[in-house]
Amino acid sequence: MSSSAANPTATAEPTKKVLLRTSDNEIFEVEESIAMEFGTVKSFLEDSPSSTNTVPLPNVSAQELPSVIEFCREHIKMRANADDDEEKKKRYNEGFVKEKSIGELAELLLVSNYLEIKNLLEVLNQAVADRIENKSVEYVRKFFGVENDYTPEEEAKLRQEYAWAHEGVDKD
Amino acid sequence: MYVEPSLRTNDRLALEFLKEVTQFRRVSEAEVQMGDVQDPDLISDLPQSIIEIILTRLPIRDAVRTSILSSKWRYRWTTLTHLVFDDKCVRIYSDRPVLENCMVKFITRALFLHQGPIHKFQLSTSFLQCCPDIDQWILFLSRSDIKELVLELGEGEWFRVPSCLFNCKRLTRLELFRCEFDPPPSFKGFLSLRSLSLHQVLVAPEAIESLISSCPLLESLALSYFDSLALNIRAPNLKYLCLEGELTDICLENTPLLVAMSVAMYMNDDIAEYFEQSSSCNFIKFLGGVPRLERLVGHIYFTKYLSIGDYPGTLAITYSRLKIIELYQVSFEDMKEIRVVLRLIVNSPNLKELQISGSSTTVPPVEAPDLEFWAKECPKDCTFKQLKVVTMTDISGVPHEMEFMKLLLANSPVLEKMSITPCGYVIDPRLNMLVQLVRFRRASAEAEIIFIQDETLCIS
Repeated sequence: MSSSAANPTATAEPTKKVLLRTSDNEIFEVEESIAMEFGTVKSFLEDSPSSTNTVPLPNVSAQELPSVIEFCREHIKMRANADDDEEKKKRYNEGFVKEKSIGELAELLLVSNYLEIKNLLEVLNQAVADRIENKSVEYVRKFFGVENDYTPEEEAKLRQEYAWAHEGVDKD
Repeated sequence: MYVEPSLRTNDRLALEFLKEVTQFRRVSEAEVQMGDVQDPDLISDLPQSIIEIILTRLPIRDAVRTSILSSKWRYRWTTLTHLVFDDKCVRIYSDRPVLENCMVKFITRALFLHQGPIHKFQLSTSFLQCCPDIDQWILFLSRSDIKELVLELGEGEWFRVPSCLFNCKRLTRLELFRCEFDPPPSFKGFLSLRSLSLHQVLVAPEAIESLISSCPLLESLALSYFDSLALNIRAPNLKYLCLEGELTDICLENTPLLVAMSVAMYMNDDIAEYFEQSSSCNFIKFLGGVPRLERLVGHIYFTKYLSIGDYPGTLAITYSRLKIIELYQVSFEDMKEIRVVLRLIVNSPNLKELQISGSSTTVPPVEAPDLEFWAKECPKDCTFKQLKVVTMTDISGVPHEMEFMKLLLANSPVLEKMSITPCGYVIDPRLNMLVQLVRFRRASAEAEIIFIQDETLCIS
């Protein structure tokens, strides 16, 4: 079972492809330039004999990989377009995270952390931070799936201790 | 009634159950609508390193509040190594002293609860100026391995930087706004400093000079809003330079690795007089030792500044990496300034982009322009082999401006675009400009000339 992520714009010389095998044994074929955006893949290829071009990704499932590949591909394109338009990048990044649910963002975070894709990590981290900024404690608890294990007394005391930080925030 | 939370929030039943327990439920209606917290168990799997990055990206107040999420989270925020305090930390009170007090309390408490090293500390607020607590915070930071320090304080009485700042041996970045800065005599420099920015900082010029030379790794330097600054810059690793202010005498004595510079000079009568009497060649002093320069941006009086002093005609410096030149307020009625511009572009064989803005004058020229100048002064074989984009703005159509554009068009074989924006109030000469432009010979068949008309002034 393999899905190919072919480059739509034909180039003169054949672009070297790299095969990525996900945890559920799906194979994704990507251009080498995209694969090199993944820190772990880059190190893997550099440390392996030059004939290898299949990289196992045991911590990545087939569900997240397409979004990640798409992100890297777009960013490579934007960079190659010597214009280096910050606005354009920003808009793309915003659009990328906008429709994604919290669960999807978290999955992508784990994947980009494992794959060591620095710019994607930054975008995702900022997106998560933006979503919890200025929200109530309850919201953030639900968001992070945190169980509150303070007793009511402990919590009340903590709130008092931290009164200086809780002023003027969304009502809990 | 206290309810023991069940094993893991993986368990959706447990989550539903928790929702119903009224003590812990204080969510608003809107939050209950939040449909997308479907799989909370995924989020709790995020490793500590990611959580820390997310916390760093939150405003500090939100990060601190995560202490209340659960006992596991109580101290997670305290090990953050990046702390940024700004006006959002506190609620805005109309009573100024209360506001300041609140802010001081917030920062002091946060620092007191903090554990571990602090690598970056930024304080950007208009609510505090000169305040003894800031001294204490800096003392605390100097003991915490601080690497990056940004202090941006309000208008009013300027904060005097305490001597403990000079003990921060590991500083790599220092940015100060509206402070008084007075290094003690025993200060030997910040040996790891890579980036220094001083804006509206009161400091003796000798002190800046010696500070710069005693930071051997300095790569980026920004100095702005100084009064009558005269400096010799000795920074063997300097790559980026940004100067803005009343600069009287700047000499880049040792900056061989400089890659980009941006200079804005404000002139007043004293400085203008100083220049009249100066004989040293400013062009050489500024641009004589920067062979690796890739980008040059000169605002307001920069070209005028460079034109002062006698340039030894035989000297040829080539800026082989210079790709982008932007010069603003160039007076095309001053032959010396024109020579500076010519000298720059003729000696930059790899120039790709040129942007020039004219200095529009309403005063008619005293003497007829010497158009022979162009034939005489330009090297016969000057070709701008890489020049692709030219942008001319604030053009009033004076003869030398037209000759300059003619020169560019005739000698730029790969030119793609030349855009010209006439200056606002010039209406009649526009037609004249266009007529001339159309006649100029173009070396590049691809060159597009774009004449930008202000829509409201369009005469159709």
